[in-house]
Amino acid sequence: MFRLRSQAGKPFLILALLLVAWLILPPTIKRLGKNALYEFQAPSAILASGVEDIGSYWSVRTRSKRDLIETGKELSRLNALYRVQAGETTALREYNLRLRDLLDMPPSPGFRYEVAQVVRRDLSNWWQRLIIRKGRDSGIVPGAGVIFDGGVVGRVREVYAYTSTVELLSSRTFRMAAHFEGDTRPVRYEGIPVPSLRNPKGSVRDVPSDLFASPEDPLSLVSSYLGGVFPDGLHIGEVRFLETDSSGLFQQGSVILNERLLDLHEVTVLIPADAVAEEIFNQSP
Amino acid sequence: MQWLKRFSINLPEAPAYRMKILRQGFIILAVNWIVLFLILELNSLLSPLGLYLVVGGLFVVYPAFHMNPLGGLAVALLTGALWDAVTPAPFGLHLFLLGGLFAGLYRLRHRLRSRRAFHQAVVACGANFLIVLFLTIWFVPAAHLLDYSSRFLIELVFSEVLVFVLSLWMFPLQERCVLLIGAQPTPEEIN
Repeated sequence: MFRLRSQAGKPFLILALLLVAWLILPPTIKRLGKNALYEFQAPSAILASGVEDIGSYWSVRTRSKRDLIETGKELSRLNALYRVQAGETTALREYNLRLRDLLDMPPSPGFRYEVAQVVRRDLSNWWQRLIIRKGRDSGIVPGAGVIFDGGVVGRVREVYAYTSTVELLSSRTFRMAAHFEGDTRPVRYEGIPVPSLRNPKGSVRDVPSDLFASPEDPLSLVSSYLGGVFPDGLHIGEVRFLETDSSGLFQQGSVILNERLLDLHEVTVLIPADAVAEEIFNQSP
Repeated sequence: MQWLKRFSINLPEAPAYRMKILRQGFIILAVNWIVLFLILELNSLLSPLGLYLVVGGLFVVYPAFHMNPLGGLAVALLTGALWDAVTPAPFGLHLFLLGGLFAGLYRLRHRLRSRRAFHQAVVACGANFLIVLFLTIWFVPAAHLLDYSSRFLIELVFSEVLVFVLSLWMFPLQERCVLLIGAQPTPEEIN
């Protein structure tokens, strides 16, 4: 009987010994092991993304020439519009620089934009992150801001050889400085658990008590340059309700995030491109 | 010393046997890894719905019931390490979680082991429930518990259904793969 029990208990004993060995193992070796296993599996995620690309290519191939010509015409119209808007943006940027020179203001941080494809969305109750198809090879750095056409996406967390992981805005460990549109006073944005079958949400804290939000007149929360990671004014979400917090001095409320955040296919990484941006970025927590 | 000898792993010295254990472990690990990859892709597709499915219970049933303790534990630990690498969880969490589940199932294998697919599926569902529960407790937030627990319940139901359905395909696949490479374990090897 004892023989049988000891046989059955062997895995427990081995596991206990392994656990002790694991606890005394230096973190560097654990980190090395995790990175090696991640890099070993990274091609599978890229392969799946490649297969998806081939699928969309063949679905486009099945469309008629007439459809493609129509789409081409529409794209050329959009291109013309974007060229005009790009010209306006350049003029506004130069005007902004001249005003800054006149007022002796410090230059604003500059970013390089790196567009990356999302290869996997890993959005659970415990963590919210994306894996993108660009890494050290494209100059991505940990902590860099990530955006899309609907606003802020999150922040780069880990960078590998050809891929990076992005902590999403809805992740509950995500924090950033923000402010409301039309109001320069800073507030704190925090991610909260995302419920199933509903839109992602976040929370906003330290809101000045004179601000008011309602479903009819919601406040738009935008990014602040204070963190050094994002440029000013990028959309985060909408606040429809504010209540006084436990201190009684400030207000807090929930932020309704863009529902497309859970189904992203392409994002843009903001890489600090000049000395000012790098200095602010390196000082940020 | 006598006590320690009782716990030592008695592997026959024959190289052919060792190779058989290696082949068996490798093929089961490969199947586990493919299923892990497919589930990660499925979760990526389900992300707009706010659903994330966990099927960890599938990875320990075959090693615990049909492999020898050393080979089975190695497969469970390596699957856990592969799972750890693709999640932001602390490295070692899934590794020891699967290792602990393997040890528990191995200890109870005489009571739980069955050739019937339904029984194995029920064991996989039970193991999966423990994994989801453990992770939910491990990552419990300080606030917003209502949203957190409601999502836990919804995902648990979907995960258990998926584990049950997948186990009807995966365990026969593992058995067939082991048979194909000629590494089917004998009852003496399992025990």
